[in-house]
Amino acid sequence: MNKSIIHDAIVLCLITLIAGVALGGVHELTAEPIAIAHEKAANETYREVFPDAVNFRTDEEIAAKLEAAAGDIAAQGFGTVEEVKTALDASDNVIGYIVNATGKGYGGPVQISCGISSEGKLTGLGFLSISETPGLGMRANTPEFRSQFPGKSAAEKLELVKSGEAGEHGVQAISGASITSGAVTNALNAAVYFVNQIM
Amino acid sequence: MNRYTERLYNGIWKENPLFVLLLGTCPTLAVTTSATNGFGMGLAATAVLVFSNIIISLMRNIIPGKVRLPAEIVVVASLVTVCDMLMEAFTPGLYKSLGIFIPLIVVNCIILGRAEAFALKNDPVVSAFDGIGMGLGFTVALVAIGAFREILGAGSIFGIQIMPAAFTPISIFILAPGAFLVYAMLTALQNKLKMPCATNGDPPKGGDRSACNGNCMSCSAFRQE
Repeated sequence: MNKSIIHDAIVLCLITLIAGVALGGVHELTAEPIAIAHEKAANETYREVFPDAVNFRTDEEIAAKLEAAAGDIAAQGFGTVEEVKTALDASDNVIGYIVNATGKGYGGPVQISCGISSEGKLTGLGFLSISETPGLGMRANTPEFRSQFPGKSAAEKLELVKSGEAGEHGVQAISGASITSGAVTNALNAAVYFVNQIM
Repeated sequence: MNRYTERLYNGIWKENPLFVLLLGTCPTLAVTTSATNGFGMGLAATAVLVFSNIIISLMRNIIPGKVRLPAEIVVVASLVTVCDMLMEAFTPGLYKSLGIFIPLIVVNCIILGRAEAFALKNDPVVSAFDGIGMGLGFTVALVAIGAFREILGAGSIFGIQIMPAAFTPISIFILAPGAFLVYAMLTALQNKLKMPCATNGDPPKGGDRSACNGNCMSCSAFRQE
């Protein structure tokens, strides 16, 4: 009896050990390609939301400011700002910022990436991660919804507009998905707040 | 039908994991919000099912009977994680559409069910066919439920609008309660028509022991020690 328990325990332990080593090996093998794939995907999104920019760079000074202002941004009740990159043109001049921000959606956090030009205009909006209800909240990630952002003013807070014309300071909500629309607007407002008040 | 094609027929029709065995209900309710999602989840589960069946079958003489469940779970969970990492690293495009389903496969009891009921007692090749059959059966069922919910809840199928503009989508069908409604209606229908299904009450007398007759103790899949 006791002997069989020990035998079973050893076998199970060996199986677990081998599985663990295999997992570690695969992780070693895939860590780098995964990081590259992530960066590539993020860069594609950046290019989409800031079509005029040629290159994007992480600025340490901005990163430090962002870290210091995290509490301030959270206190506004919009959302959080995770990352800010400078958008550069062909001759390395800063022509605006890429801001990655998150708002609370219906199916979890909605992470957006938006471009804000030095003139204070939105250049575009894309999604880094979104897991809303298909057919409802997921319609945020369609050209119909996203195409309203380029050209909007980023000088002040944006309002969610549920009916009628959205105008320069408004975001046209998706019908039936006000929580998702609110998440996008909040994330956008966190980004706008950071660029206007803290930078 | 030889023993390999018999496995395919068995998985897709006779013992369809979702409709007949009622396995894997949890991820089913979560992902069948659209036909496309069902298809993605089905394919991802099929891949894992085939490999887990092969590996469990190869190890069937090593795994001690008393600790077979933890041993199987370790193998399945590791396999799912490996799949997840490999897909993310080398097929980012595929990962983007299927990636969210991969972690859900760990909690998919079809994988464990087939390891336990079939792969532990059969050779690797036929176990692989069992995995393909069960996986395809799961895919077909998921697409069917997903399409039904999508048509009612969003007026479309595979993302293509098919209902006329006058049709107002019944949004509840693509939300969580809709999943329960559809699954409950399906099971009720099977019950009413006395179709083979794990939820149907009395087993037929002296009946077919290989298909699901509602009597788990007499099931061919039940492991006799």
